[in-house]
Amino acid sequence: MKTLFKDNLSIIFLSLIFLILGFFTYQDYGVGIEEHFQRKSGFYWLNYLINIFGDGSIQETATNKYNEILIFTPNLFDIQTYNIYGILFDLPLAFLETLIDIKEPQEYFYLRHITNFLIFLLSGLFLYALLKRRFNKYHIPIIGFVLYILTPRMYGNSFFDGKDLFFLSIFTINFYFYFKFIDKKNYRNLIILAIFCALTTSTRIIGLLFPLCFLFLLFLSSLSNNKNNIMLKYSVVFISSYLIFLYLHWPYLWTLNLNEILNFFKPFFYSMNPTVFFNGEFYKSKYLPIYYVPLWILITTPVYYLLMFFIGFYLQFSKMFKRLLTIREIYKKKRDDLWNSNNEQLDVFIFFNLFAIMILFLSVNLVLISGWRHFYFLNFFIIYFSCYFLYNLFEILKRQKKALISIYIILIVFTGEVVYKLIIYHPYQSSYFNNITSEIYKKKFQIDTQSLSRTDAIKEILRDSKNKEKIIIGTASWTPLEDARSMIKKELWNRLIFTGTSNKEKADYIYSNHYYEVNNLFNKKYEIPENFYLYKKLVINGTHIYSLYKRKI
Amino acid sequence: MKLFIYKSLIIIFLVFVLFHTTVGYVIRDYEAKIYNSFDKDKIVYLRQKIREEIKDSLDNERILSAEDALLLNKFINKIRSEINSSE
Repeated sequence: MKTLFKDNLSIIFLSLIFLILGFFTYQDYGVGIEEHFQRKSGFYWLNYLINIFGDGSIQETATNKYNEILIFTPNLFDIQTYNIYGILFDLPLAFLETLIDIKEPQEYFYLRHITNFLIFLLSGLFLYALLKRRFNKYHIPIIGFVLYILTPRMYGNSFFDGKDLFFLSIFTINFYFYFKFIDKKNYRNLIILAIFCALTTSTRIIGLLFPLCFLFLLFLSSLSNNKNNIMLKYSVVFISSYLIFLYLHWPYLWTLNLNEILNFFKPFFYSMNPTVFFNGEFYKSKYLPIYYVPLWILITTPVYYLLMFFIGFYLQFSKMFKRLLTIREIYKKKRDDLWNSNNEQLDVFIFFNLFAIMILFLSVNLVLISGWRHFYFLNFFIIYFSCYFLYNLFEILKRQKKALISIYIILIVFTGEVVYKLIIYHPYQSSYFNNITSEIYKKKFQIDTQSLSRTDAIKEILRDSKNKEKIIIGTASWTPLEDARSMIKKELWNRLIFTGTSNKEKADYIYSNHYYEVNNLFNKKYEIPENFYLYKKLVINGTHIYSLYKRKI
Repeated sequence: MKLFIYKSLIIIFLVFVLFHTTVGYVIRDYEAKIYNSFDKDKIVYLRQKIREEIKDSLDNERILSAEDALLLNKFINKIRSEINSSE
């Protein structure tokens, strides 16, 4: 225990700092666009399970809370129709909320925010453990952990994005259990891996690629070393445990009829097909350019992360390519075709996962909105290959102390700059752009797509109209502004009247985060009436977050 | 056998990538161009614009210049005579 503590002193210290930071700041974040739906989903399935298994003690509270949600947010999607979403995050939180019987709406969301952040931090620790097993030299695990937690968009989203950031966390943890399995191949580790693969799949369907890559690597292993029997046994145990756990915790499978099996993937491709403003042009979200995700990654990830990632990826690619050229039917020395050790097998597995995602992206017309948040799980690869590059660089320079120190200093300076940006963007780190993106270029993209600024805007309106009994607020963007009431005290709700996007000219204030689902060059539904003037505009580091307009007197 | 499987996998992969970066990409690009050009907002805007232009033109004393009116008259008459003669 003492050695464990001593060996991991720096990570314990860093985790504590992040933990304290999280606890001090989690209340600064507004409510995310998906949070109400996720909460509704959690309570729907909680009630569903209570009705099956029966637990009278919480049944009444859970039912009341679900009914409250239906009244408070009547426009949310119906859960029975949109039942494809996993319940791993939402159901336990609904249960916890019911158990503690939280009454104040702000508290529901604060609970979600801190839990999401804690899971993200935990996944960072799993990443640290993975990197420690893989590259236990030159402080690489610590560097990887810091880079992972401090990636600006991930850090910002970790407080309110229970879908994409939660998926990144589960995805990262899954890689740790993969390494644990290849490190010590036994059925216990295999079943744990299968459980986490099932959790990854239910959280986001793209997580299905993980178990597929695992099976593909088992197949390659059996090709390499002719241990067909054991690999076949592993495959059978893995597939059966994976399917059982997937069925046990994923409501989509409970409600799927046998005749719908052939259309299993169809609901995942459903989309309203809104218009997306991207790179200065308007596109339908089903027909975005192929460079949509790559460009978003390029402009919103710190530049030195990108450089390290690209070099690390290239190094791994060239290594794999060389190995492919040296594959023989029989070897003089014992080796696998594509790897020589467990460490290399992990590299190959991670590489294959990234490759599989790239192939999917290339071949399927994915419907995307809200920047690249559906692909935030790619941050795992960015960090891993950055660490891979650093490890190789440090190995080359291991005898040159001055060079090593210089690299550490460079890393500290660059990370210091990222920390500075995190501070100035707070609590809008989810709208971060890197240093190569000019202020003019930032205007060519949708910014506050998660509508985080709603809460701040309502608080600002309340501050400005202290003496007003009733305040009428209109919206000039694709944002359910009234949902942000949840983040202000209940006694203030009666003062606020939300008129949505109609009759804006009669409102006292109009809020806009400039996020539209239509081409606003041709569709004037979000035009600000002439009897309004710009009252407040929040701009952080040249990034326009939201605007508030006030009626002229 | 092993080498055959590896070679097959690599060839399938290369064909797949080649298809999607050439033919697949072009198809996707044109499909996107077509759908993005015929966006509902643009069509509604154009319809409205045409309607406004017609309304505006009604307020003018003349819609066509004398020269254009003469030209159109001759053109329509010629077409009419050709249609009639086809019976």
